[in-house]
Amino acid sequence: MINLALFGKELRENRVKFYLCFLALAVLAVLLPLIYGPTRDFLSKIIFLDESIRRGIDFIGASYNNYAWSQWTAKNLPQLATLAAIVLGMGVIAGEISYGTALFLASKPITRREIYTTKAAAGLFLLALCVLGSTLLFVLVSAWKGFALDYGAFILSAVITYAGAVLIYLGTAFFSGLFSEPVKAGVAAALFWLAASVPGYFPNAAPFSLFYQMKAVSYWVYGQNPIVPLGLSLVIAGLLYEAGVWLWSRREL
Amino acid sequence: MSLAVETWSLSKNFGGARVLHEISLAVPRGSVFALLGPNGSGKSTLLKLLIGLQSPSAGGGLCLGLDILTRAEEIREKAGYLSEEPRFYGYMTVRQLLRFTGGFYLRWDRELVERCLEQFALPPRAKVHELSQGMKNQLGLILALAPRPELLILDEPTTGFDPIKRRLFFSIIMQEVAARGVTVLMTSHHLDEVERSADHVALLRGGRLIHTGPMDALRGGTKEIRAVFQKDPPPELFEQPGVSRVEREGKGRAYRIFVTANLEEIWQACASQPHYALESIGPDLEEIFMRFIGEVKAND
Repeated sequence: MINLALFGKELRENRVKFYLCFLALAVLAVLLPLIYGPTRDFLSKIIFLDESIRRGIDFIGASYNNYAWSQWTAKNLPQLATLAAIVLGMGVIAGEISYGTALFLASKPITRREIYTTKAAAGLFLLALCVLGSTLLFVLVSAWKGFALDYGAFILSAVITYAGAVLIYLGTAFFSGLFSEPVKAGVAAALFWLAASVPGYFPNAAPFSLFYQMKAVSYWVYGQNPIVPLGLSLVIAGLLYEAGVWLWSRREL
Repeated sequence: MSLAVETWSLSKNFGGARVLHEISLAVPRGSVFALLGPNGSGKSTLLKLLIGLQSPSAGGGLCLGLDILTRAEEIREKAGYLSEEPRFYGYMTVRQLLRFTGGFYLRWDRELVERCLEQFALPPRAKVHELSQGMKNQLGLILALAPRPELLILDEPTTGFDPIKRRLFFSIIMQEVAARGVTVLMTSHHLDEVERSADHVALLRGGRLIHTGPMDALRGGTKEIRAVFQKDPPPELFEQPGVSRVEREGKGRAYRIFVTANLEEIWQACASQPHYALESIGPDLEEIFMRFIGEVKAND
């Protein structure tokens, strides 16, 4: 199912996107643990009139666990992972079409499904390096600083974030099969995912938002078993993947 | 006769327009088969259908004995394809592109690759985007030949070539044909090269197959009488059965009479008219091509 030559080509073509995404995440993964002390001290000196903000600040200041989750898993990681998923996914098919190389690639003895699968696998591999690699960096810096962090739960939360990023990537890859320009595919995917984020703004509908789930709120805050959202992500990812394969297989070159 | 390619009533629609009309083609194994026709006649589409790059709207076919609808990947393993003005990954070097492409095939003839690189004088370390279109076509031929294909499908392969490179290109193809019995199915606008290399021809126009057969039969089926008369010939001379077309050269009394039957009678009729010169010749492929296209145009 995976063609190694094509896999290597995909890694090479996406390396600049990967470096940029990983660099942004890595900078934050190093910076956030380092500024924990000064941030906590600074926030404790500010008087917040708004009660909900006060509660939030108290939550962050209560433990490093809370700080790490709120600043990494619930904020910077899903935001940048979303961006990385769109940037890496927008060129899956549209890149080959716009560079005029789709005909050359499709004329090789490989099925359209194998091409799509290999390209998606390479993209998801780079996305995993971005999300999980930077989280590991966060854990290492936290350990080096001697902060008490629930490492297992923290990494599992990042896996939940990654599952959401996989959906965004595969959705963007589907859009990549609809357009002939990667930028157009990226913009269309961004608009789609923006629309999909709307339930997150309403407390009752928030659990139905992908971005809410990517923050691992249910698991980290309420202690719920993540198997259901992860399983659901897997099913939706499968549907998005099949839709992408179907679209690409029907494309006349 | 063993066939490398066989299609029956192969049709293709784009939107509401039919671009290929019930093409039934038979390409003998080991032949050099030229697919000729004006731009937009459906040649490239037909080639793409054969290796599963597009799906037919109706009809079907076999390529190397494999169904083009269900076994396209196996066909592509055994058939090398060079598209018109091929586009490769420009950031790769020639050597990297060769290595990348080799990763898709079970067989990859490195010795042939090195020999062809040398013959074409292609620099292995050059980036693909630095190559001219002609050099890209040469590289494309190497990529198509390296997996040792049984069938070579070439779509306008000599675009951007100078005559010397074109001759070299065809000589390499002919080496493969002679050495391994590779079947070549190609389109080309260079009819002189086609005439030198092809032994079978099919003519397409407007998506319809208007003629197919051996080159010799095509040539033999048509003769041309060139005559310079001393005075205007009677109109009935050109209305005899077997005269397919008459061209008057300039305003003089020089005529080109294309004959498909009754050559002897027409020759005698011409000879009976006072003339300065009279000769019978077999037309070249370009003339045959123009005649067929002209006839179809007239019938349209």
